[in-house]
Amino acid sequence: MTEEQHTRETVDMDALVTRTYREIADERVPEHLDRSILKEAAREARPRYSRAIAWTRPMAWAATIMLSVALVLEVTKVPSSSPVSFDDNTGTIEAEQPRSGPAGDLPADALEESAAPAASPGRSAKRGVLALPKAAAFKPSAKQAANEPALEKRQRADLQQDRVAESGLAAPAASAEEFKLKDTDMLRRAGEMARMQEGDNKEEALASKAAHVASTEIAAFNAVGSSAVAPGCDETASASPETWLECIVALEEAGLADESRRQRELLNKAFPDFDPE
Amino acid sequence: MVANVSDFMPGDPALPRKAALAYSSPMNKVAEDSALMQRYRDGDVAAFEVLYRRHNDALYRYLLRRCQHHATAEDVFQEVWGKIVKARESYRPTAKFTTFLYRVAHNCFIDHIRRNKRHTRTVDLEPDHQPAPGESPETETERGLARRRLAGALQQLPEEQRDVFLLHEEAGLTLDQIASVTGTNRETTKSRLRYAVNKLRAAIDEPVGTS
Repeated sequence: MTEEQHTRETVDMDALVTRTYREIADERVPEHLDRSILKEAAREARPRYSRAIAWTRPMAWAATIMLSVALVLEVTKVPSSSPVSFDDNTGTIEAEQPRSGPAGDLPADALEESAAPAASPGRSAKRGVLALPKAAAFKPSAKQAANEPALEKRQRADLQQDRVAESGLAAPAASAEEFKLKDTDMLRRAGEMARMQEGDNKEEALASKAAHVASTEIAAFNAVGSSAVAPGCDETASASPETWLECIVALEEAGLADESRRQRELLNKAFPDFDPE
Repeated sequence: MVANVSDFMPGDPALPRKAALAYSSPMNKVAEDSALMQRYRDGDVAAFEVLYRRHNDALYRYLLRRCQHHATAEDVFQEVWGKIVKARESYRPTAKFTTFLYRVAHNCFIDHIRRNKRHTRTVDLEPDHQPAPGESPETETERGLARRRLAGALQQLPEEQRDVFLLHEEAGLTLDQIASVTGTNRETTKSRLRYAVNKLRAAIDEPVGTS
């Protein structure tokens, strides 16, 4: 007889105990407990996936609303009346200005002329538009520009566009007016100087004129509001101490004191015997 | 000796139709509990309901007689099933499900005792018993007296002996399974069961007039 059988026999021997116990043990689980436990079991048995994605729908809604609001705010932040805007297609900087007043009455060809000597035909000549060619507007000279390869021209133009964009095209409206006054004055002086040197050395005079015009361009650009470009005297202007000095004077008149000082130092180094006086 | 107090019957109206079809064969009963638990782990709530209905009353009586307090028994009962529900992911059918269930119940009760030092025993667990048809009044009186004496003796049993007796009667566990549940060895379990049964038998056989 195994021990298990012995135990079973012992318990069977007390069948009376078992039977009596079964008579008293008829309690049942209360209904509310059954319901509660089964409900909990059903809740826990929901797939984890559905529980995991339960938050995604409200999150998606919230994200959509936030993006929409952000987009609307971003759109409304774009300035509707920018004083100066750069037209990428035509390569022109449009300066918004009042229709009346001294600056507004300037002839369009004066503005056109001040922009660049190599300004291409078909450029916008409408009133209030300063036609700055993509490349030529910042060229040191027309002669040099003529020798530049097309690719280099394009690269320079792109660089200048970037600089214009970085420096902020939103110049104050007053600067446009100021620019026109200064520009007219500079044009006049440049013409006088060119005429003075015309009889002595034609080539030199041409170079000088180009340098002056370049300086004028620089001054014009600076007046528009760009301070990103630090113009200087080109190789043509620095070929002789006289033209260099003229260039320096033009820079000073254009209000580029630092640059003119720097150019003057360079002039002194390059031509120590030259007396500017 | 009751092997499984609330064994599933195929005609049970509480059983969902789907589960009834799946478990209509009595040959599947051995593996049923573990299989039901695994199906519940996979999200089959009906399987859990079958499992629950099979064991709920026996477990409740076990806890009621151990706690000897209705509210406490209900709390522990709910806690036990809550743990079973939460343990479904980690459940491995390495042992009989009943053993697993009563081990959880045993531990929950021990924890409850530790949490509540003042363990109250305020309930009269002797239920009203309807006389069997054809039973003579004298017999019914004797049976009623025996029930009352057994209930009293059960309450007076030491915790360990009562635990072993209830696991044997309500859960239908073997000595080895009881030993596994209570964390003792087989001999200790056997000894406790014998002591318990002898005491209960002695209470039932007590001569009239001494109680």
